[in-house]
Amino acid sequence: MTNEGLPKLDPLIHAPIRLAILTVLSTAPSADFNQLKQCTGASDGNLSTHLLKLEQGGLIDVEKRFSGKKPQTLCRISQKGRHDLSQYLKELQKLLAPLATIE
Amino acid sequence: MTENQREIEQSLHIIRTMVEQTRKSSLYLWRYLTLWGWLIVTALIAHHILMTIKAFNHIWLVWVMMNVLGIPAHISLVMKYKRDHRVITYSYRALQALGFGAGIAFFLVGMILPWLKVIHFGAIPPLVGVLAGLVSLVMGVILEFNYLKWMGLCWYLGVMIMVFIPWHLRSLVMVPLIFSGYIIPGILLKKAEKDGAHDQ
Repeated sequence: MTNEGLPKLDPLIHAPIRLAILTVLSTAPSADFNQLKQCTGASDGNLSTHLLKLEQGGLIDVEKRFSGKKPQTLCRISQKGRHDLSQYLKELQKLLAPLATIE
Repeated sequence: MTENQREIEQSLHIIRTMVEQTRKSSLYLWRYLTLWGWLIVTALIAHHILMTIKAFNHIWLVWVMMNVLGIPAHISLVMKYKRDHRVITYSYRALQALGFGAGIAFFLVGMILPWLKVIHFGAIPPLVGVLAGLVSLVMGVILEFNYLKWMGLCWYLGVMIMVFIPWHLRSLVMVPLIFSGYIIPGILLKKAEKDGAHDQ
């Protein structure tokens, strides 16, 4: 099967942990570090790295604050993040269509 | 399977898994339904017993006790949800707001308005039934849970039946409705949370 004409998936979103983070954040107004860790199963370091990449790419907004005396990292998907995730899903659908006809 | 196909399958699997994980947050609702279902059924039976022995002056205590037990337990469940680091999804927030609004409405209709003599005690069950029907219907739509949608309609049918029943027996009609509208969906949602599945 040739890859000509098939869309390329956004590499910033395509990484498994980052895709998981964005999917979770698309279902909620926000999620904190521990909630994302529970959902994705990622380690602290791994999750922090991927959150930083997403923040640098403008796909999420990260707010560091205190909840009582405990520090809290709150993440929200940005407008760009929603748009790019939506585009990613459309590209995924386009990629699925040729695979369905092969079977 | 090519590398491309593997990557696509992996992405789909991740999306499905994350969506299912966050959907499970709404299934947490079964705890609230079970708590209030049993409390209300117990209060209704106690209410009827007190009416039968004609202890009318103390009937209001049953409903006060229900709230004294129920509200702290409800708050404790809310705190547990947060302690478990579960994501607060849009649908969970919508259900929270619905439950909060319904609680205030039930309190007003069940206790404040009769106490202020705005409505007769006999009007409480049908009015509560109308509210419960609305809550059940909306909850069913948010959760995509057909059983609750149908229960919403059953509540309205129950209200019509109550109209033809003597006012002092209306609370008894509420017992099977609360069982069907709170306790049974609580059991079904608990099973769905355990299985990781969801009724559609």
